[in-house]
Amino acid sequence: MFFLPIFEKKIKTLKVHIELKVGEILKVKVKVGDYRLGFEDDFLETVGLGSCVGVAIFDKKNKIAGLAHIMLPDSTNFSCKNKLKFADYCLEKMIEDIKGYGGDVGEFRAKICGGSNMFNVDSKSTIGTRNLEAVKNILRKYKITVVATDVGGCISRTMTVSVLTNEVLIRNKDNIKKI
Amino acid sequence: MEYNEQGLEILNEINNIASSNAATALSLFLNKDIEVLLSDLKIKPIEEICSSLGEEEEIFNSVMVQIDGSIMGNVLFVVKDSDFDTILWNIVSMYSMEIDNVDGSAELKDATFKEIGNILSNSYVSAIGKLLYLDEIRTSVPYSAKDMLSAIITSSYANAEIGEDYVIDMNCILKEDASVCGIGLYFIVSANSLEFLVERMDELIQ
Repeated sequence: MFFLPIFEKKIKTLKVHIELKVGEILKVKVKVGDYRLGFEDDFLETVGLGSCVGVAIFDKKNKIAGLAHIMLPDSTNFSCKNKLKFADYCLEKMIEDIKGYGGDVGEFRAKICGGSNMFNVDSKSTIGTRNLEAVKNILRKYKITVVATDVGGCISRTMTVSVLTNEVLIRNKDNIKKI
Repeated sequence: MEYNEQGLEILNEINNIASSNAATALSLFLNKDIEVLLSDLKIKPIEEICSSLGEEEEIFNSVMVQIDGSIMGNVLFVVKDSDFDTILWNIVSMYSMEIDNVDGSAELKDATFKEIGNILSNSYVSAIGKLLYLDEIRTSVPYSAKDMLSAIITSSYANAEIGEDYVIDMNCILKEDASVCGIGLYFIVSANSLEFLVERMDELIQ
């Protein structure tokens, strides 16, 4: 499991859904309520983060990154099959997965995006803020430092992650920014 | 979340009646014929819902109304941004107004759109209430958003806090008579609420 050769890691990446068009860079698509790992020069992308939260976790030393698309904060009261949509279950699984490649969790860094109040619902505790709170609690538990965020507001975001540079490109309907 | 044939038939029937009621309300409001295109009720993963309407990052206008009481969930009304002005034009033309010449037209457009969503959602929910003799159904004020389709659908789903693996797509498309205006109306409710609706209808039939 430890120190897999690069080509083996690549095969793992290629098993997931990949969207490739002429002239575009190779991106591993992360679906709603799911997570994926990327290696070396991979790009990971998740589309349409509204109240959902996108969490990118980087292991810079081993050139590995994970990207999760979280929909809901807590799986406790739900008995559904796909628990990856919940922050508690998904992030713990993704962190353990990255750790499996020999990284030191204390060295991991995270970037967070999303958690907006899409419909401008008049409430102090919207689903977006609760998602963000749940994500931060889990990262705190693992002592993973959050180095950059682009959260809140009433806007949706698409998040593209570069495993190599640890940069995150955020696209919304009005502009593009890098964190 | 599995339903037998009879359960699905009941849900289909409830959806047909409620959608027709919503279409009639919109038709009266616009003073035009509205065609209701009803697809078979489908149980599908959340990520597949938006693919029936457009691209994930396509910009849509939407109105969400939250439902509380006997059933819990949301009614979501979505319109492609490219069709948005046509629909609004149909309404304001009834009142001999030129929307682009009105000061603060963005606010006026938003308010008008919210009102259409409100009428559709409330007529949809009230049809279910009347059909099943449910007194305890409350609806929220309408909330609007203009953004990427997938974010609108997933945020509305997350707001309902359903948590199921699959949601029931009671999708219907309301099509205007002359111009091609695709309007989507979604009923996003928990499995418990849907089971309650089936049981209630079953009781009434017997």
